[in-house]
Parts: sequence; structure tokens; C-alpha cells
Amino acid sequence: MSVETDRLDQRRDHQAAGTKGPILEEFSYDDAIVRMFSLATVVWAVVALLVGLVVALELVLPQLSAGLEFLAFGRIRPLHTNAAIFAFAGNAVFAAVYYSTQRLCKARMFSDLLSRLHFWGWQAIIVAAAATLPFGITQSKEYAELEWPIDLAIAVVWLGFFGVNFFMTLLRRRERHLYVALWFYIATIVTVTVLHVFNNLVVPLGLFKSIPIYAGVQDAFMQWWYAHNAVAFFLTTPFLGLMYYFLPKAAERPVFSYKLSIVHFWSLVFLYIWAGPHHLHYTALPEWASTLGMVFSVMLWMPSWGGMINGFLTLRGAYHRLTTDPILKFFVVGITFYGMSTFEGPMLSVKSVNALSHYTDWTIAHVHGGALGWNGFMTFGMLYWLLPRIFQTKLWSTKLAEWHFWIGLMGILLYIVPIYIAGLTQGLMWRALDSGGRLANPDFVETVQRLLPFYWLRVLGGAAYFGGVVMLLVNFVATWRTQPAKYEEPVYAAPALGKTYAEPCQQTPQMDGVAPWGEKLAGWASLDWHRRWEGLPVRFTVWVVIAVVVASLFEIIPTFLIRANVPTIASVRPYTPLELAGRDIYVAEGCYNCHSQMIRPILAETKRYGEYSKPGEFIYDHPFQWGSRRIGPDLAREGGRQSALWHLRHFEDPEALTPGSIMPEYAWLLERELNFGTIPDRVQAAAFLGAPYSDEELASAEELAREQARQIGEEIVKQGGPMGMEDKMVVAMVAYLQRLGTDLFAPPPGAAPEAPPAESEGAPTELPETETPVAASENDTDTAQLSTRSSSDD
Amino acid sequence: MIKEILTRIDATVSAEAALLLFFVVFIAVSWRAITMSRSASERRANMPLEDGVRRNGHA
Repeated sequence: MSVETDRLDQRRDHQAAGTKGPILEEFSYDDAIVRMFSLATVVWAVVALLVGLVVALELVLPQLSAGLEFLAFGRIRPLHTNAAIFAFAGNAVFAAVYYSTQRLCKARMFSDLLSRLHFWGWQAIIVAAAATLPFGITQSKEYAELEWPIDLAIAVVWLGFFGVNFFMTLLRRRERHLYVALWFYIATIVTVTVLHVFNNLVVPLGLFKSIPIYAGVQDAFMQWWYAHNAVAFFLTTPFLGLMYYFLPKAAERPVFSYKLSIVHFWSLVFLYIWAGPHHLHYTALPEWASTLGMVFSVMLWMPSWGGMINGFLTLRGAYHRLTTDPILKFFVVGITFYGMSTFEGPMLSVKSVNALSHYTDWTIAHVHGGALGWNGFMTFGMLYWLLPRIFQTKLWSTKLAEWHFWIGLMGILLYIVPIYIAGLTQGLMWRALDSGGRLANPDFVETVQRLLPFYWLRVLGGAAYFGGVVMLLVNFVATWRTQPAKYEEPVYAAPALGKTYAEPCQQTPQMDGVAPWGEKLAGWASLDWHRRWEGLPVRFTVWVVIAVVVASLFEIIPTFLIRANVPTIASVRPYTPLELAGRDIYVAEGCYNCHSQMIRPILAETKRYGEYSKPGEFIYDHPFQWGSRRIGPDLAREGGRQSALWHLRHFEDPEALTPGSIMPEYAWLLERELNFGTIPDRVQAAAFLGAPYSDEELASAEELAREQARQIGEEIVKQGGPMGMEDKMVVAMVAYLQRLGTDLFAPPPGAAPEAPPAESEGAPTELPETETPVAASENDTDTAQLSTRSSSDD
Repeated sequence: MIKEILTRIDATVSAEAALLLFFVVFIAVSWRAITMSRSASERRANMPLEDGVRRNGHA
């Protein structure tokens, strides 16, 4: 801040002396914060990839977790995703923002203190994530798993430290126009704030547990609105900002088309926010919402490829340097993966493709193409460009950077190609029917076993990519060691922005004989107002917020209105206290990472799992547990399929009951005692959120839970199992699993036991005939499998 | 009554309205980009290449 103070003094001196003309102000950039975020990027890349490698290994060697609960796949997979997104990519984004914003604004960051608070706050959040997720402290929403105290910290650090620092820098800039990279940063900051706040509205139940205020369909909709846009506004828009700044720098030529970048920005911001529902095709989400998500996803092709083409053409005339410059190599491959991912994403959003790809490893391959190729390689390109500049020395080894590039590229291909094949294999095996119309692969584990060779190849690919990042770490440290004893702090000069500045704009055509409103319209059509916005960060930000919020509300409000239209099912009752406790264990163990709870109205699915899921079945599900992939089978209709003892033995040793299973052991569920004392608060919270428990049930929640646990314990003993299970965690899990999907077929309260379930409010009625899955003929599986739901479901 | 109104609202219309809204915005943005002068466009495209004028050390 001392340089800033100096320049203010200098300005006063100039004014006192009556100097004419623009007064140059002197300032320096804060590169120390860029060094800090760059180091954090590399360190967390190593951690995230190492955890990813362990996760990948656990899928082929499930015994690797050694029965240790904090190493179980369901607990550390979220650690991998959070570390990759928020620690690795997040710190890379911050390094890019802090370096480029200062130079594009010709101003030091507003506050060095806020920069440091941002840095240390963010690292503390990452450490808090690493300290909670392996211990089952999770909200179970993908990429939003962190519990509410950490969510509050994220809001403070993101908006209070980072956002304030960024926007105040914009306000104190010395460059009139906001370059397009800054637009992308603005969109990132405001949208992530909105997404984070609305997806994390919860009722706290102590420091380490909360329950979302949304349930079932609404919760799923809100979560995927968040998750899709987390990809859009945390992994796409800031990296596009990075691309628009660092690519011209590395290529030493301006961006190919600034006009195209304007269309790219606004189209992307406006379209992306609508696309989330494509993650929920064929689920209990309303048909119109998922169709809207699909249409807008397909339209995303246009701006995405516009941006990709703009990136490639920025390198025109510099392609000859590709042979010798690893930085440009990283950028070219990064942009190529951006193009591939943004082609594939819309394709996967098309319903017929999604019917095959959803829940399979195809999605995992798609995500890793984007994360490793686009985010990873753009970050590496930026870091190799930054290192000599922020450390004021030469890059230690360009040769090692070249090696990093090639081994990293090989790693990506070795990862994604087998996983694409695995995904297609899975999807086709799940839906395959034999000539008699029966499932060709009725045992789920058959499909799992078929994938194991591909999973091994993924481990190899991941290891290669990890090896590349270790090379980066070596290069980083070695370059840092050759830094000068004292960093030079260059001083720059630029005139302050005048308050009366008016950018030259096009003349409104003179129109004789035209009505005044016509002239005004012509003036508006010249869009000088937009040119003015581009120099007004506050107004520009407000319009970005409006674009994002309006687009969100268009989807969110109608979806929440359908709460009144979700067909309630008379037989669907709130969970019992013990089932609620079991559900919390299910959430804590991260079972949703491998098991879905959503049977789509597709013939092969209804044949494999039973009646397709109805929106009314999830009205007490806080949070929803639909999941997004099936490493194991769907559990939506698991209730009553197996005995209590089977579940107990399965938790103890899955492979013993299902040879070939890759599910880890959950033996601790048989050893740990269930904390019955917390159950009453949990039931109260459910009641607070609308579950209709009676006063008696609320008053005696613990006793009810103990009684149900005793019954299950007795059942286990009768079936030949061990005694003394009635106070163990496993009975709660058994209670929950045995309840799943059974309400639909249970008699409604007060009805005869044989009565069919009702789909509407009031008296029970028979299920509409159209809800019966459509049978497929031998040669017509593709079309017949996509049986339609009745309109009442929407 | 409010619940009845909400229940009767046809939410599907928001899909068409969304599409319309996007096209309006897209046309406005495209028009804005097309009408930008070449000099302004080039000046802005060059911004990342200009870090500012150094007062000390190397240029």
C-alpha cells in the first residue's frame, strides 16, 4: 500500500504545482499473492491427484481401505472431487485472477490484507474439508458436501475477502475499459455466490450435521442447478478469463476476435444457467424442466465453440512455436479438450443419449476429459508462463516441462479412453435383453467384473498424469530456488481515470422527418449504452446478476410451484426414527457415490429394479439420495428384497455374499454403537421441515427407535445371525434399507392391506395403466425401453 | 386461494418464455458486437499485451 500512498502524495504535488495534462500515477503489482496461490495450486494438485489415484485403486482393490472407515471409497471420493475442484482448480483461478486483474486494471489489488485473508482463509477451508469428509461429515450433495460451518466460511472468504477485494480493485482501476477476461471473473464471483447460498440452505443440527430445507424433487433440482453451474462458473468461466488473458500473452499476439469474445461471454452466461436439469432426465423431475435443460445445453455448443475457435485463431502465426514451446502446447491441448467437452456435454444432455450414458462411467470420462485436459492443462500452461515472471528468474527446465506435457497427455488419454469404453459397456449391458425379453445380464456384478480391466487402465492413466504433476512440482521448487535474493518491485505509471471521460462513440445517424421516439430508438440501437457499461463495473455486475438470477428464477420458481402439484401418495409415510438414523449413516458413508435411488421409466431398469420412481415417494427425503452413478445397483426398491441377516453379512463382507463385488467392507457398522440419544433431535428437525409425526411419536422418538432396533435384532438372531446387534449402527442401516421403495406398495393409512397405492391427494386410486412399463419387442429395445411416464408425474 | 392459483399455473410456458428471452438477448449482444468499430475492437484485444509503462528497471 506504500506505493499507492506515494502516488497519491505525488498527485497532490502535481495538483499543487498546477501541472497541466494527464497526471501519471505510480503503482506496483502485488505478485507475492500470485506466488502464494501458484504454490498452493501445485501442492493441492499433488494431493487431489494422489487421493484420486487411491480412489481409482480402491475400485479394483476394494480391500485397499483395510476396513478403515475413513479410507472407504464413499468417504474419500468426495475428498478427491473437492480437492480437485476447489483446492487445485480454485487456487489456479485465484492465481490467474490476481495476476491478470492487476495488469488489466493497471492497479494494485485494493487491499493486500484482504488478499492474504483470502489466501489463508481458502487454504483453511480446504484443510477443514480434508478433516471432515473422511469422517463422514457431509451434506451428501455432490461438490457441495461440506457442512454448514464450512459453507459459512466459504461465503465469507469468497465474497467478503475475494469479492470485495476484486470489485474494489475494479473501482480503483486506471484502465477505462474492462477487458473480457474481467467479465468472466465478474460472472464467476457473482454466480458462485448465488449458487452457493441457495444450494446450502439448511437446518443445522449441531456443528457437524444439517438437513437441507429442500426435499426430494426440489432438492434434486436445486442440487443439479448448483452442480452443473459449479462446473460452468467455477471450472469454465474463470478458465475462459484465464484463456483470454494468458493465451495472448503466451502467443504474443492479441485475441483473434474481440467481437466474438463479447458474443461468447453473454451467450455463455445466459445459457449455462438454464442447463442444469439435463442431469435429471427420466427422473421424477418435471418433463418441461428437463427438456428446457436439454435445449439450452444443445444451444451451448454455439458460444462454447465460438470461444474455442477464438482461442485457436489467437495462435494464428504462432503455430510454428508449438514445436519448441511447452506452454503453447499445454494451451492448445487445453483448448482442444474444452472443445471436446463442450461438444460432448450437449450431446450427453440429449435425452436419448442420456438414457444410455447416465449413471455410467461415460459421465466420469467426460468429466475427466474436461478436468484433466481443459482445467489441468490450461493451469499448467499458465503456471509455466508465470514461474519465470513471478520468481524473476528462468524456468529451471523447459525440457522437464516438455516431459510433463507428453506424460500428462498420455495420462489423460490412458484414463479417458478406457473409461469411455467402460461407460458404453456398462450402459449397453444394463439395457441388453435376450430373445425372450429378459435381461441379458441380470446380475449387476457381471457388469462390474467386465469393467475391471478398464479400471486398471484408468489407474495407469491417473498415475501417468500424477507423474506429470510431480514433474511440475520439481520444476516449481527448482525455479523458486533460483529466485533473486530480493525481488525487484517494478513501478508502473498510468494516468488516473477522469470522471468526465467519454469514450468516442458512433454518431447516431441524422434522420430528418423521423419522430422523436424513432431517433431515440436509433440511438439505443447503436448500443453506446453497452459500451458505457463496459467501463462501469458496478452496473455491468448488476446486469450479470440480473441475467443469472432471471434465468435461474425462470426454472426455480415453476419447479418449486410444482410442490403443490407433486402427486402425493397416500401410502408414503415419514421415516421412522430408527430409519432416519439409518438414513443419516447412509448419507455419512457416502453410499450415493455408488448407488442411485432413482429408477427411470426405462424398460431395462424396471425389469432390473422394479416399478419406476415417482416424485411423491421423495417428499420426506432431506437430502435426496438419487445419486449420479451406479458402481453398484440402484437401491430405490431395495426394501424387502433381502433379509436383515443378508444385509448384515453383506456389510461385514460383501464379496462373501456377492462374489466379484467391489463394495468395501463396512464391518464397523456391526461394531459401533448407535447413538440413540441424537435421534429425537433428528425427528424434530424432520417434523420442522414438514414430516407429519404425531405428538406421541415426537415425544417418544428414542423409545420407538429402540423398539424397532430390538425387533430387527431379534429378526437377525432368528435368521441365524449374531446376538447383540440391537444397539449397533447396522440395525439402523438395515431398517432404512428395508424401508426403501416399499411405501408405494404399502396400504395407505386406514385402508385395507390389499389396497393399491394412490397417486393423488385424497382417496387412493389405482395406478394409471400408462404407468406400466412398456414391453419391448425383440428388435425394438431402443425405442421401447424409453417408456413414457404418465403426465400426472410431471 | 393462492395455492389454487399456483396449482393451476401452467409451468411449461416458462420454457417457451425462456427461449424467447434468450433470443432477444442474443440478438442484442450480436448486434452490439457487430456495431463495434474495428479500432475499438483492436484496442481492447491488445489490452493483455499492455502491462503499463514501467518507471524503473527494465522496460
